[in-house]
Amino acid sequence: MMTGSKRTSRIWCALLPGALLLAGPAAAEERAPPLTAEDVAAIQQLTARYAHLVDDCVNSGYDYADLFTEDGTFGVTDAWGVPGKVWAAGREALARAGGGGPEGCRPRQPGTPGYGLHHIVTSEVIEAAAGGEATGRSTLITLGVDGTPDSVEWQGGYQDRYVKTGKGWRIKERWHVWPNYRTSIQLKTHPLPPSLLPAPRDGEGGQ
Amino acid sequence: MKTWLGLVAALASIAAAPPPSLTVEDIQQIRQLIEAYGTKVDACTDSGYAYADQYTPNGSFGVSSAWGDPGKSWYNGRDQLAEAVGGGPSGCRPDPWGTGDASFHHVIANVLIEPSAEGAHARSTLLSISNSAPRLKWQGGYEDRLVKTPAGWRFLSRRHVLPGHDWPDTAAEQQAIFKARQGEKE
Repeated sequence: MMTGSKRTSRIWCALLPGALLLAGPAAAEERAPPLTAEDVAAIQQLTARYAHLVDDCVNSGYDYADLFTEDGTFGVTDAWGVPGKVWAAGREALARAGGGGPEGCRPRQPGTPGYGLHHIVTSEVIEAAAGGEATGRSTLITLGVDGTPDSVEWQGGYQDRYVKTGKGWRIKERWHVWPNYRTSIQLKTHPLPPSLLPAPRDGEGGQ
Repeated sequence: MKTWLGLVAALASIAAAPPPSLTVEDIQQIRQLIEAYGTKVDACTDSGYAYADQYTPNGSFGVSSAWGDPGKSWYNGRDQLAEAVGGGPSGCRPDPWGTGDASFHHVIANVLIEPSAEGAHARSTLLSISNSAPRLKWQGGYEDRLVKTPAGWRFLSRRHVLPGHDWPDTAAEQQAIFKARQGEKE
């Protein structure tokens, strides 16, 4: 004899595959599995490690590169949620972005990009994303922007996609969202080639 | 023979031991310790023992010129650590650093916590905020050895790391440097 609840369960079990098919893959992808406290703590530590390794070239820049997935990217944009210019894609390019590369760490001296910069990454919000990924958004304050330790400016922040790999959480994509880059003290001190910077938007003359 | 077998077994068990790890609770407790430090170092509270009790009874505070370098130990043990923030067995005394209105406040950021054989190792960035120029300044950071005690996580040692800086051997010498600078401003 089947009880009412058992009969209902069986009907649901029979209907469920069809319901999932009707809903389609998009509905399944939209559901972001929640992050555990361990996941959030691990991503927070990844962000803290980034702040130290971007300032100091360690292990020829590969410690910095290994914060990312093998195909990870770093780029710069001037608006949240808007892709900009990718500066580094893949481990070798990221190691160079971290101040190193196959030839080892490049000395950072007065007058060279990155000299004396100290990154403070704060106010990070981490959220679950579809496919078991996570997103992050943080604020970046940078000191030493004109080469002296007490020069400081707000530089927007980071917008990230994280994925959990066999080695733990890694950055799949990091955008430095830099809304004020056109007036940045850092870029006035150490100008970058225009090819590395986001293109002016409609109505903007660019600087 | 039995001794050798025992030794081999012991070595094998060490080799097979899982790497040390920290729970989320450990990381949160250590983070709280490190972030609370910023306010406890800025004021003499409970004769300085509120500051000292963030350390183990044999804990030490010192300075270093490079990350990973144990540097110089300036304060060792509970009473000396209380004295570091202007306290000690005789109670709180006037600011030993003589910085007066120009005194700066500690802000700690980028806290990185990793497991170690004895407990945990941490590295953070230190900023100072002052009431006079320069208002915000990068001051290097802290490198910590932490252990879990029955009272919770504590600093076994904390080093203020300012890469490339030529630190004096003792805190008394550093205090004299601070006071001289303060005199020049006045």
